[in-house]
Amino acid sequence: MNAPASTLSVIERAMRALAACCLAGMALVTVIDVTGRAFGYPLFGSEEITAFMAALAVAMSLPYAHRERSHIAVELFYTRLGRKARLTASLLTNTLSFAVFATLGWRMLDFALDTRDSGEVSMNLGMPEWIVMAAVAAGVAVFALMILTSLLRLITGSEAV
Amino acid sequence: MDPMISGLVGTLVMLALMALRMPVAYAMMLTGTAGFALLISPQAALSLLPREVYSTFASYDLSTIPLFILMGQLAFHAGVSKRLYQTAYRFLGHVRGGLAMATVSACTAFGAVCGSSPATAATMSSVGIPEMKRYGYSDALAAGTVASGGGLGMIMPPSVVLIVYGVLTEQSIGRLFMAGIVPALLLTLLFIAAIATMCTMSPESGPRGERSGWGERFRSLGGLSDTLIVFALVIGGMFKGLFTPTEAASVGVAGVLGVSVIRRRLSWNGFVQALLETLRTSCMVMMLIAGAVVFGKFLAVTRIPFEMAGVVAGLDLPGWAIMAAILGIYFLGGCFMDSLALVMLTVPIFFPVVLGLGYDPLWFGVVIVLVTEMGVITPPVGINVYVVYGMTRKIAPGIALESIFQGIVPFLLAIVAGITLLFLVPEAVLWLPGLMN
Repeated sequence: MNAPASTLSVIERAMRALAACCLAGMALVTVIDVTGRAFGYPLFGSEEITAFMAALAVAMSLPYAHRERSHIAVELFYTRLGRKARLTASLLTNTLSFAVFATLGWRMLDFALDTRDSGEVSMNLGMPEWIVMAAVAAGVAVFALMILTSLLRLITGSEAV
Repeated sequence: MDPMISGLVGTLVMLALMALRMPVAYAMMLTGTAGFALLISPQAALSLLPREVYSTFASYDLSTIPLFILMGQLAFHAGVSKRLYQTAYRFLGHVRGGLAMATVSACTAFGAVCGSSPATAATMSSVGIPEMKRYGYSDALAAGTVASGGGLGMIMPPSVVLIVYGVLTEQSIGRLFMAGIVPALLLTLLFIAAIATMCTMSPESGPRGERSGWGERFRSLGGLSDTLIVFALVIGGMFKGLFTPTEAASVGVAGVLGVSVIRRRLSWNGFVQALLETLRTSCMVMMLIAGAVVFGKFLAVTRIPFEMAGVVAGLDLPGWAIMAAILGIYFLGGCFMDSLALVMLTVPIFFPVVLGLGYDPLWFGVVIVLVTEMGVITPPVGINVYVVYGMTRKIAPGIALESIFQGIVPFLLAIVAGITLLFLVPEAVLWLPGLMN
């Protein structure tokens, strides 16, 4: 249990660093475009690059946001439940969350491969967009695995509810 | 199954999962996909899910959200909030309740670079509360001011909720931002009036501070010049149509970063923290949007929004009464749920109704932000109150949660007055966007 969990943690940190670079990159590319435009040299395809980097920044920070419990949840009713009811509720919601994001990861990869096979490229720069989609699928997959880890911890009792 | 009934069952299941603490975004994505699979086909749902999520993540329009959040985070880590507060204090500190008025003004000014209400509340807690406690302000006034003032950050552009509203309803984000400026300033004045009234009724709750000379006041303005220039560049650029919102946000990031680095106000650690905090918040927001988009597809198939719009339009009630009922629902919802999540859940349902009643989409966007702003400070959920309470435990222990809730009452009344004014004078919202190119 520990070795896979620490591997996941290393992957999460690497993805987080990549996400941070993409975030800074979005601002940089757009500023270069705006400045260049003022002098008559806009950066061709900057909107496309920004959108790709935004997708990567969000997808790569999914595992990190999950670890930090950043997603909005309604605590009001849950905290009034007894310990057993809270455990049951957490097992149910974690299982469902794992199911939905494992499905999303699988379908996203399929979507990426379909796009590759159809030879579709991005509109302005002609970039193979399927690579971005596959990277998003990877972010979602790691995120799903982290939910699975939380679920296993709940089952073994090593995570309190 | 009848689409309407499956829509209602799906919505109830989603609410039940949320009550069991499933994150709102996950619950929307799950029930949206499952409902779509049930009503159309599992294959259609499995192909819809990755497409909608990917197009949300890779949307150029939405890329403005992480950038505006980053701009606010950089400004926070560079100490902009503190300088804004000091300047406002120089001008207002000597009147009764002046520190609270300075806090509210600084909240609005900080909201001009930061688009989130809890972030503004947290930032201003650490700046304003210790000062107010030092001058013997009551707990209720000190903490209530910060919790309520934080909401001003949500309406003053850039505003994350307005961006999301704009994307969901296909309104221009630049125009929505312009629409938010006058109401934000109006609300600031109403908050200041509320503080003045409170301090007249019980002078001991907000004693006078020191009076600053005019020289000091103008010198303190000098420290703000860079923030003002960045704001003018960002908002002015959008107003004049020179930048898209994403470009304006990037220029803002570069501006805040450039000024902070030149003046040596931002450490490397602060920069990294700003990036990480931005990633966490942006990821949360984008997941909420993706969830709302998927759920919205399901809702559209059930035809509930259209049927509901038809039913409401057929009611024998004046438009303003229906509108008041809708706002009442937003207020109640806001008591239990985060404003962004609430806007995303409800806008697809209410937007067609509101358009049918003949209200302006920009006006409705600004008004629901104001209403949900009441939600973020009212019990039982009141996220800003908890944020401020969490902060005070570190900086001014001993402030009870009850006294914060007590302190927000005058501000709630001020927001109600503000909404009433916007009802009576919609031009306050529509005037600035009307001047745009």
